[in-house]
Amino acid sequence: MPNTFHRRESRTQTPEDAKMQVKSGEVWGKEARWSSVLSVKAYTGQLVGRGIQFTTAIPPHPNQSPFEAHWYYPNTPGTMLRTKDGKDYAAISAVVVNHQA
Amino acid sequence: MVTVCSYPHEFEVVPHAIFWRPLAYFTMDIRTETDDLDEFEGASFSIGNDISFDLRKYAGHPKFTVSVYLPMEIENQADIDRIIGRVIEEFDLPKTAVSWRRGWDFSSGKVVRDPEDRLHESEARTLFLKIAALQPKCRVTTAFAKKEVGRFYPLSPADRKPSSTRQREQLWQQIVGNVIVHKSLFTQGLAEQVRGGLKLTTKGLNYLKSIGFAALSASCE
Repeated sequence: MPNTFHRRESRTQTPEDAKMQVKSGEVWGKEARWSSVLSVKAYTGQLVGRGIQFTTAIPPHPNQSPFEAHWYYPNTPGTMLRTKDGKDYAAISAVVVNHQA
Repeated sequence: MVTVCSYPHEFEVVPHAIFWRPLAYFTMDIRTETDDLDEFEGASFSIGNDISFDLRKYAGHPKFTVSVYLPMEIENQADIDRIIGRVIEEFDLPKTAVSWRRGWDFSSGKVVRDPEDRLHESEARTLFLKIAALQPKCRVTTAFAKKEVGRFYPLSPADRKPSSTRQREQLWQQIVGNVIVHKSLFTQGLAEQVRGGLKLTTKGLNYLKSIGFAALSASCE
């Protein structure tokens, strides 16, 4: 049984993002403000409220906490590089359920 | 000495511990931000020149918890252990307030509060000082402090047990009341007794600065 993760609706997880995530079967993430490390970040466990919930066959980086999981490109095996509008993103394959519609 | 910083640290961070205390317990200097995970409230701290860390509470984290974030470069378990131990020591945090730290087993999405976690008089003394620091002239009554405790400290079932010596009071109320009765803050010079409560002294304010609660520029004027 794969682990369940979620992202809550926010400025960095919009309804438009949710549609794209379901359509592509991928969850993307960029670098933090002060960082050059591309990463996908999500909460662990079931979603409560609005957002997306997903499962993935890609295990998170071992530095996860009880509340958070991270997938770094290129350090977490299975994490992919995606480029859109000249900007790079980390990405993981996922089965995404949209709870932001 | 742990110092709260006015500016955010400029590095990628990783969570390595979770405390069962709200961010307001640790500092007055809280900022609100958004990153690629979510919105969060946070504060940045330093211990000497060699330890820098953040405390953050993301919108999706349970109420009354705070997570300790270290720079991503720190990966060695012994280094993480040493730094988290130092953070706990410098904040003068009870061991029962630690819900998880790197190396402990956990279940995804949840942490459990230590059933032994309850307010003891030493922690109540510091809480009293913190509440006073946020009031005009750093002066506070016991009645006001009792009203405010819940903002800074999550009352546990053990705290809510009836007091064995004071009718109609719960254990935590007795503990907070004892801070004034036992006069320890006054004999240590951290506060002066005033009608119905206490007033923070310069020594008391400096103590709060030394545990990161007050910014170095804070004053009681």
